[in-house]
Amino acid sequence: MNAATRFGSFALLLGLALAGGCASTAPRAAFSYQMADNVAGDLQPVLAAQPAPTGDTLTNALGVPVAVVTTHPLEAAEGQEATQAELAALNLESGEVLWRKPFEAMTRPQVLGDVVVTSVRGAVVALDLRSGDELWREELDELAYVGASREGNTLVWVASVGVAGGANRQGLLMAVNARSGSEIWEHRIQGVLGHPEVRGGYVFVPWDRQNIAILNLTDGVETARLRTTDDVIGWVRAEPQGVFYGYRGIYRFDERSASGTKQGSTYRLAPLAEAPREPLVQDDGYYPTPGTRSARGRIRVYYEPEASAEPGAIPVEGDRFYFVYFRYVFAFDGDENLIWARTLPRDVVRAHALTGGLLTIAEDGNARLLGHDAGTLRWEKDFDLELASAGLDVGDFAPTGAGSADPADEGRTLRTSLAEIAGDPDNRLVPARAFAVELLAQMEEPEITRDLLDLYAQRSTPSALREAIGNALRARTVGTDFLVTALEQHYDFLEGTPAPPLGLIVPALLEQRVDGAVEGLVSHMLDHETPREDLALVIRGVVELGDETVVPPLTNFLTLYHADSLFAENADAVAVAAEGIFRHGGEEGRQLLQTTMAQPRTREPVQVAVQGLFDREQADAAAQARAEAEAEAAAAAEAARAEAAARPLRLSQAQVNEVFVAHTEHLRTCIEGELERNPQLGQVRLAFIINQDGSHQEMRFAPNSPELVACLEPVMSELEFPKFRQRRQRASFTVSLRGGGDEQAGDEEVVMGPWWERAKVRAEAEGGERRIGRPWWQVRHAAAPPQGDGGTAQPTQPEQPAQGSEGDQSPEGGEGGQAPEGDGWNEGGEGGNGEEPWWLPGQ
Amino acid sequence: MKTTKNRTSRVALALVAGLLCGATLAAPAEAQRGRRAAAQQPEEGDSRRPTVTIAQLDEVTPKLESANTDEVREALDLLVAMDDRRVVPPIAALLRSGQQDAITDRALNALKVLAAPQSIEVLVEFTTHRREGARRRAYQALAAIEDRRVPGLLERGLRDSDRTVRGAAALALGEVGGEANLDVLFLAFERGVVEAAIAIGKIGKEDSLPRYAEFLGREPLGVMLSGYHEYLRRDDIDLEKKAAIVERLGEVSGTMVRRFLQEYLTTLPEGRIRNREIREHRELVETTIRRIPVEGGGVTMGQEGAAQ
Repeated sequence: MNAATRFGSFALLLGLALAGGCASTAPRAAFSYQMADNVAGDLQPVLAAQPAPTGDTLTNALGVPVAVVTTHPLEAAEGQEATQAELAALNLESGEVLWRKPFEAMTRPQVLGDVVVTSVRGAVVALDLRSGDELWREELDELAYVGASREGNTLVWVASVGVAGGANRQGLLMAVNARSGSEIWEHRIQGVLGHPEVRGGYVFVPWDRQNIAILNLTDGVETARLRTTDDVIGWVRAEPQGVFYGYRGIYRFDERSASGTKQGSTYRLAPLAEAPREPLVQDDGYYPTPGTRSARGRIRVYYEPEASAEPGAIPVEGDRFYFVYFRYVFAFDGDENLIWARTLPRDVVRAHALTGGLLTIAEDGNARLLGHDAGTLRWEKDFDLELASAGLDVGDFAPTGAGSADPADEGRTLRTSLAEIAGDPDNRLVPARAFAVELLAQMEEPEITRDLLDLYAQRSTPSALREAIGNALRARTVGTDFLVTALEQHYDFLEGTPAPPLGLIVPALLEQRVDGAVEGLVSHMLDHETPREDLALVIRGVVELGDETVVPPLTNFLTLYHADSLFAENADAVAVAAEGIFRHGGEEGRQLLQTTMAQPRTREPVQVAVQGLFDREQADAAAQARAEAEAEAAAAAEAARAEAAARPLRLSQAQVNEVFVAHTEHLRTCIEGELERNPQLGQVRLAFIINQDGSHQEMRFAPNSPELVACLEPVMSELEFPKFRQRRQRASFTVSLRGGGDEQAGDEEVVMGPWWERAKVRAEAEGGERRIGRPWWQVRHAAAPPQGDGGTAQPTQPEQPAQGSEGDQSPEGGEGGQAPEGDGWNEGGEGGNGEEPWWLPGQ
Repeated sequence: MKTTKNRTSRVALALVAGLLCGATLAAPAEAQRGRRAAAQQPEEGDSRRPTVTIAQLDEVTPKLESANTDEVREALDLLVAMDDRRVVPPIAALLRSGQQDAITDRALNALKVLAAPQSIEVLVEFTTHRREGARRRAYQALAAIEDRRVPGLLERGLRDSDRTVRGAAALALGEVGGEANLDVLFLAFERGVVEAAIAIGKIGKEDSLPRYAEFLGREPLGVMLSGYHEYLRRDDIDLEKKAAIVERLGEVSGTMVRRFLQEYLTTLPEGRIRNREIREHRELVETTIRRIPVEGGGVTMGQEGAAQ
């Protein structure tokens, strides 16, 4: 029964069940969307069933390291017959071809015990490992075989479709007898399944790139499910060391896996994330691994997990990650430090990390072991086959007997290996060559700078690699002497010497501020062979790295070419030279520039450039002056803000009194005059509004005899009060002429003497303390406005008293101000107008 | 007075302008000097012939600083007409002050006409000018100067990236160079400086012929013939060596060779030649020409071109 037939039967049964009203609510045995994921309890039996980690071991029935390979068919050529695609089993240890047979495998064969599993167009096929005879075949219809795994006699395989997108997304997981292919159980889902793995009696199946369904191998019932919430699951790998999964990074399957997160799991960041093409540590488990020649799988990171791992860690066996890029091999330690690198003659179709190094199987049938420590050739076998793919079961293969030593290994260093890769003419592999350049540039040997310059100068070097070299050289801090030395080279037609790569050298010199390069740069500035496209850059180097000593050559250059047609359109080089003179030439240089600019023959772009220098300087100066002025203004504003913030909210009576004390003499004169006119006068009271800037207005006097008003007004006009924060406030000043009755004196000690003495004492006694009296609006007897021309301005409109605190004050301000206090107000109230509020407009 | 001076200047200008324009790339220094002398000789019976003398140097030099390019040109021409090495410094100063292309080129041509060793320094400076036209003129001007330093300076022109500059330098070396420059000329020829063939043909000694012949088949035949043309027209090359050239070319054969030999034959004495060697040489040439088929056979023109 083929898969299609079975699937039809399954659908029929399901339809019958539904039609019979037997729509079951019981969860399906696996892949149900209703199943809870990341349940720690579900994982426990799975974890408990896992065998203890061991080192990498052989699993095939032959007990020898085996490669089952597919070959690449060749067309007939001169002296060579056409070949057809074959499947072959190789004993790597003996170099023997165990068997080979014509076979057009579509996927890379897998060695699973005594069975080889692969696929042909439309079917999965199992063959006997010992003989190559076909054991069974299962038709796939529209599904594509993805991969298989085995434990005991049970073999599980997956076929799927839809990984690349589209509406058709199906997955088939089958458990069969490994030798007969007879079905044990199966699951078909509307979703994409990946390569399954079996370990400890459980099947681990990546599913829809986010889940791993863990099924019991015996009955296919899903026991547990993992789901990542912040990553993608692209593969699962069951090894003697344990179960691992991930995509770019690596997770170890353990108790922490239930977290479903990177942080909560035993996780290792993607190794060599900076390597070109973002290599994976495993083949993407959702795609079939091609059995024909393909670029897929040629870029990979190989490693072997360490068996004796501490919990919560994923150490790497031998502290090595191997990055294979077609035919280049880079070996890194666990901290991603490059240890060695090698170039192989042909592309690697498959590799395997061993304790002793990296086993590589190349397209030409060459198997070799590159040593763990230095990448030297430790062993090799030639199978003389044109390979397309290879499935390996090599355990921790440790070949006996050394292979032929590679003479190229003599005297090979990491530097020479990387230089070999960087300079390799294979332009398919430019990204890896650029990677080699990057690694090379990170090394300390100064000579590497020269190597990179030489490579850059080669005509065959592709532009992408040149760009990489440029970036690498700019980042290098050693070997700058070679950059300077390179400037000694000049173009020579007869000798075939090109100009040095100035576009590369000068930025690096500028980056490293190599002052010693000025002489060489000047020589190239004056050399007509310096390419036009590099000329401005070279002069920029002269200007940036030079000082006043470069002014003469810059002047020569500017003078020689300011009128030449060469720079009629694009005067960038001349402009940079002018800039150098402007910067380093002092006043004399500026005069030269002015003169040059004024010459009628000077090319317009040159004139514009030179004028621009002066304009920019002026603009810069203006901008600087503006910035300084703004800074000053800001500082002044800040000081003003600080000063304003330091002001009192309002003035206390004492502060008001202090102002009057300064004018005591004048006040006394006026009051004495009033006393003479009115001997009964008991008190003189002044009421007014003080503005926040210290000015005052609306002065009212009581009494308000014209003489007194006329006398006091000049005094009042001179008064200047301290500034305060409130917009304005009402205030008063009372002169008690009889003593003892002045409320403002309050509880103060009675001071004998004239009123002004008492006023002074009172002011001092009150200090900064504000005396709180009755609100002014409760005082019914207000001072009358002054009479005649000498009176202060009337309020423009009646001010309504407002209740409340300072926060309630109206924009007019003044509410809550110092009220005319006490009975003294009435005592002097000859000028008052009875019960009317004083703030009402006068008649 | 002013009118007279202006007229003098204009006439001198007309004279020298023709002189400058007539200056050619490969004209031998001697020939140039001869032309200059001729240009400066008043024509008989021409009472208006201007006489510009070095005494007027201070009067003419300020015009070089004029903003009017016509005035500068006129001043340059007058300085050339003075034919005195003392005019070199103001012309050098003019060049160094940076001029428009036309003035620069005219000044370089002026120095070429003057052929004064005093101008070597400024000319060397202009062999590194970024404009190839200026460099080429500088080398041509250098070639006009009789000075032992000149051949060495011209060699530098062979290293130039510009083909025309290299060509000018090679041709100039053919005029003023010597045996010491032959190696570098061969190197230039090896590198594709075709003008070096003429230079080699002009200065190469007899023993350079086998070396030159090695290029047959590697370089275009036309180029090779240009060098052989120079060898064959020289008196210091033995007729025996010339005969070897003719025989070698006869082996090459082809229409182009036939035409070349026919032209060469016209340079040889005709009729009854007393000198046996010359007579035999002429007979050799005639025989070689006869052996070259007129139509077909040998190397055709098309194939010669393909050899490039």
